[in-house]
Amino acid sequence: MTILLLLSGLVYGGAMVAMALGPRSPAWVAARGQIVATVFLGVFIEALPFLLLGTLASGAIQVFVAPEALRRFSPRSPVVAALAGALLGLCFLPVCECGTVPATRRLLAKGAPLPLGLAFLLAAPTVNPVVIVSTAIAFRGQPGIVVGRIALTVLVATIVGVVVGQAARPGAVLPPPMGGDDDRHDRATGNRLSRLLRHTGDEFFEMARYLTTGAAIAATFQAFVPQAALLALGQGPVVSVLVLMALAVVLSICSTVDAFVALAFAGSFLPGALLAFLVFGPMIDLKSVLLFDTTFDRRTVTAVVALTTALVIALTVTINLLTA
Amino acid sequence: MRPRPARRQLNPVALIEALLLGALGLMLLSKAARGVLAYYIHPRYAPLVVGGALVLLLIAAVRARGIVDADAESLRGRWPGYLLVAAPLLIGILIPARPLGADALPADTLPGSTPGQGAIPLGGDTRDWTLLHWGTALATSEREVAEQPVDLIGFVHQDPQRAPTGFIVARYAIACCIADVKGIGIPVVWPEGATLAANSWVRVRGTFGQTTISGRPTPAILATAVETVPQPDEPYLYR
Repeated sequence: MTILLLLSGLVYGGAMVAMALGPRSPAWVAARGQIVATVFLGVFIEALPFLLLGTLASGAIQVFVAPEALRRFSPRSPVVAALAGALLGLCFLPVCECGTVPATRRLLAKGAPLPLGLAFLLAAPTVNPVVIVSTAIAFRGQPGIVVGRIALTVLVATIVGVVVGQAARPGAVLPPPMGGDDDRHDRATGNRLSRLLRHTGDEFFEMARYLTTGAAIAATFQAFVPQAALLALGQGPVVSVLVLMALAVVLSICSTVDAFVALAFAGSFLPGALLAFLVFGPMIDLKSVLLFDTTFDRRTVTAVVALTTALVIALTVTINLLTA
Repeated sequence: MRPRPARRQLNPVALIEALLLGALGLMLLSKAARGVLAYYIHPRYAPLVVGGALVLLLIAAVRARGIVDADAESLRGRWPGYLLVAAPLLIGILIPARPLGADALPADTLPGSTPGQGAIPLGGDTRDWTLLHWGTALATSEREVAEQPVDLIGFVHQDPQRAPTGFIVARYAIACCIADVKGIGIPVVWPEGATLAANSWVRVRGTFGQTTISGRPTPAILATAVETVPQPDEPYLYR
C-alpha cells in the first residue's frame, strides 16, 4: 500500500510539476482543478455501484459458500484443471484480487490442484459476471473489447496455470498464517445478513482506496496531459501496450471498475493496448503481487509474474499489429 | 460465580467507518435529488448509483451497531485508506457540481468532432439535430449538410483564432461517464458573437455553410438568430 501511494504520488506530482513548468494563469489552474474534480467524481460515482456489487458478491461467498463443495469437482488433468480454474469465477464470485487470493488459498489448502488454483487466481477477477457486465457497459458498442478481454484472460490464466503449476516445487504454496485462514471478516458476528453487510463494508474500505487512487490519476491525465501527447504514446503497437500495462500496475484498480478508467484512453490508444490494460491489470498489479506473496513462495510468484507479463505483451502486440 | 460482562467502550474504527459510509451515501443521494448526477454520468446509470447509495447507508447502519463494543478495533494502519475514501466525499461536498464547460474543450476537437462509438442516425429534419448529429455528419460525410437548416443548443466557446467572425457553439458527448467525454464544436458566423459570455448557453438558428478560418474553408453555421437560454437539465449529449 505504501509503495502504491508513493508511486501514485509520483505520477500525480509529475503531472503537477509539468503543469507548473509553463506560465499559467490562476484562472487556468482553477479551471483545470474543476476538470480534475469533475472527472474524478465521475469515474468514482460510475464505478461505485459495481464496486459494491463486487464486494457484496465476495461477502456472499464468504458467508454462504463452502469451498469443500467445489473441491469435489476438481479435474485431475492439469490442462482441464487450469481451464476449469480460469472459468470458475463465472459461478464463484470473489470478483476482485483481494477476494480471490483468500479463496484460492482455501481451495489449495483443501487439496485443489495447483494449476486450478493459479488459473483461478489470475482469471477470476476478470472472468465473472460482474466484470463482464461492467466491461460491456463501459465499452458499449465494442463487443471486440469485451470478448477479447475474456478470451485473453482465460488463455493466459490457463497457460500460466499449467506451466507454473506443473513446474512448481513442493512448498510452493505457503501454509496459512497462524490463526486459521486469515480472513479478518470471519471475526464478524451476528446473523448472516449482518455478517454479509459487515464483510461487504470491510471489503469496500479495502477496495475503494484503490479506486480513488486510480480515478485521481485518470482525472489528472485528462486535465493536464494533452490528447495529442496521449495519442503519440498510444499509436505505437508495442509502446502503447507497455504504457498501459505500466499504468495498470501503478493504478492497481479493482477489476470491477477498471473498464471505466480504461474508457478514458479508448480514443487515444490502440485496441491491443486497451486489452493489455484490461487483461494484465486484474492479474498483476502492485496490490495483487503483494497478496500473492502471502500465498506462494517467491519463486512461484516470480514465475507467475514473468510468464503472465510475457504472454500479455506477446498477445496484445500481435492484436495491435493485426488490427493496424 | 457468574463471569462479569466485558466492559463496553467506544470503537473508533466502527465510528469512522459508519460516518464515512453514511456520509458517502447521503452525498450521492443529495446529488441524485438535485439532478446533478447528470454532470458526471449518463442518466441511465443514475438508478444504479441511488441503489449503491442505499446499500452504503445499510452497511453504515450495520457498522454503527458496533460503535460501542466490548472489543474495540485498532486504528493502526487504517488512516491512509480512510483518507482515500474521504477524498470523493470531500470533493463532492466542497466543490460545487458543475458540468464541464469551455475551459475543458481540447482545441484539437474543433471544428466538428470524432463522433465516437455508437451509430447516430442522420435522418429526419436537420432542425431536430443536436451538435452530436452535426459532428457525426461532418466526421462521416454520410449526408450532404450544406445549406441545411440548423436549430440547436450549446454553450459558447470564445476562440478568436478558430472563430474570428463569431464564436464556437459546443457541447460534450458521453457514452458512459465523464471519463469518456468528447467535445464537439462548430464555428458560428455571427457578428455579435464576441459579446456573448464564454460558457453561456445559446440557441443558434440558421443554415449550415462555410466560413474561412486561417485562409481555409471551414464548415460553419451561418446564424440568423442567436438567443441566450438556460443550461439544459442534461448538459451533455449521449452517444
